[in-house]
Amino acid sequence: MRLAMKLSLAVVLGLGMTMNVKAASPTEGASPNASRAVAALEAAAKQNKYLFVFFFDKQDAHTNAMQEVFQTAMAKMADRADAIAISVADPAEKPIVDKFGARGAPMPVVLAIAPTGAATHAFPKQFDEVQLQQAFVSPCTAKCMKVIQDQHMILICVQNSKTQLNQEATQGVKAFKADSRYGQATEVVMLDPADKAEQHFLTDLQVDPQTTTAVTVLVTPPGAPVARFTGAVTEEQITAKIKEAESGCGSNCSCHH
Amino acid sequence: MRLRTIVLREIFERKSQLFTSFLAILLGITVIVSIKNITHYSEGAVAQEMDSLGANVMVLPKTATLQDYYNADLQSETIPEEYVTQLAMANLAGLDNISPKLSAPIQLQGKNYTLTGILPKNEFQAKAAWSGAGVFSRPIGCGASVGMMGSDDKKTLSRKKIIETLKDNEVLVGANVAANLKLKDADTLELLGKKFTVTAVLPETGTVDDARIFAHLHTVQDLTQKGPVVNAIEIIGCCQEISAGLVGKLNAVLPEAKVVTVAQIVKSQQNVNRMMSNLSLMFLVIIVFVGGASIANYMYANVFERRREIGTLMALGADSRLVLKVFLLKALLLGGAGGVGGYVLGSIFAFVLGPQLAGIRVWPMWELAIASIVISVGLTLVASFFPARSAARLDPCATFQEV
Repeated sequence: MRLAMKLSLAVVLGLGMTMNVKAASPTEGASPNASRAVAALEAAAKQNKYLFVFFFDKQDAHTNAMQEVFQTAMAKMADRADAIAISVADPAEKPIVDKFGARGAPMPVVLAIAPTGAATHAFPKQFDEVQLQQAFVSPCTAKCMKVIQDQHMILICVQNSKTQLNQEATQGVKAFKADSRYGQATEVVMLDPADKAEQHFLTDLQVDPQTTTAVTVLVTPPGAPVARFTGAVTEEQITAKIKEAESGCGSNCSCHH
Repeated sequence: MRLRTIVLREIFERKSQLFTSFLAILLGITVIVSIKNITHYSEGAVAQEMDSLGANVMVLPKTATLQDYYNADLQSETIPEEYVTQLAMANLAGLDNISPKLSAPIQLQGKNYTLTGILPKNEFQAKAAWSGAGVFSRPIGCGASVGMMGSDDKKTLSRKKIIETLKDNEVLVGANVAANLKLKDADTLELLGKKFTVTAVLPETGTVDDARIFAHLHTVQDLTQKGPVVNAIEIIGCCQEISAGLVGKLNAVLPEAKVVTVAQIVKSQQNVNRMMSNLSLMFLVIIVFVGGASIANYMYANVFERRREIGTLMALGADSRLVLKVFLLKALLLGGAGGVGGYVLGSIFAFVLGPQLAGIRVWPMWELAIASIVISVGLTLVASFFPARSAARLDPCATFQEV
């Protein structure tokens, strides 16, 4: 009975989405057991759009109220994002629920997923239209978030034609990438400090957009910068910082305050 | 008549008084040995757990007790699983790893074990991104998680309390469970009606984790029908951030829960040990007064009632030193027997009660045997000295006049 109610809410919300937002119609032609969310995710990525997923577990007044906020907001962002409502109890949606770890989260929760497949923001329980708009991030941020969520490290090379010591920095990064211990689990991302769209990301990384020298930032999951190198950098320097993180306050922390 | 014969006859002259005096010493020593023995191993267990515990902060239900940190997740109270998301999204610097646990007792082949649900690292780390791109603005070096990246070694659970991935049908088994059930990697195991594959046998840790079976948190929630709840959330926090008030920030994020550092929990455990230690000291004082008074009374009564025999013995040529020796040797034997008996009984009690009272294995300690005998013999000798001296100073003529 309860499951039926949840499924009916999913259908109602799903219908609501397609009415209010120019959402893809992923269910058309799909088998009954196929995940609507997976199909919607693929469709949104193809159109280079975000997908906002409204996860819920029960139909109550709060869920309904948040659904209204969600629908209204999504209608205004239809050109940039698709939307879908998913019941976390729907067995067909288990892959997407598991992938983004929605089970056990405060409900309802809206998860914004970038075209890269990275979850860029979540809005649990209480949210408004303005907050939902904050889920959009710059292309480089979305790319880095995807790498981090895939449990890989990132070496963000902040440089352009105007910065100095580009080659010296790139050489060290390439050598590190070739290291069999870390190379497989590391992605290199190039970031132009002059790119207007990335100014906020540069601020987050604490890199001056006016920098005249190449900067290399090493970031590890879940997104914490481990080291920032200005100018030339060697493989040994990067490795040393990783070892420091391994034995220091990182995962090996053994202090018992 | 030889001295040994005289002493033995003297010992069994007043059996009821001898028995009560002996009992006072025996029970006193027994209690001291039991408490000291259990306390010693309990302190050892705390130290070992401190070493093996990867986490340094714990989130528990408000009503949870702090006396037993390594069994903290075995309490019946629960907290919502959504606290994990709230923590992950709080974007707090220094929150390196989060490990929620839900435990339930299970029986396998007639033996009791604990089924513990855990959330693999890849699942809670994904939630860190839920707070948005602000995750990249953390201070350099804090909250980094490099050590296990890409590692598929499930045995990291025993040391670091976290594993990278864990599927719905996979379990990790503790060393004792594996030994008792003869399980090895890739074996299958049925738990609460669901079949699992043993993905790894964890190395022995000497902790309660050896008797645990670890499965995915959501699988345990489904099997136990407990819903989206956990018993405890273990957190590995960055040391410098804990010093800088991370616990206070965690309390602000989760006001409905109890956030404690392991140091606080260990302190609570140490307080219990200290209390036990003080209790044994109190018993020592009681035994000194009660046992000593009992023995002294017994000896004085003995000397008073047998002064004619003592007088006769002295009239037959026994000197004061022989009389003194008789009574002191009697005290020595009484004390020795009380010490040895108390040590044996106390060690047996500790061995039997240790696992039940403190959840730890207790073995006899030879150091306590020496201490028991020294205390017991010392006490009986001191308590018997004055009665023995008054016996040795008896005037044979005076005793005969009383006849």
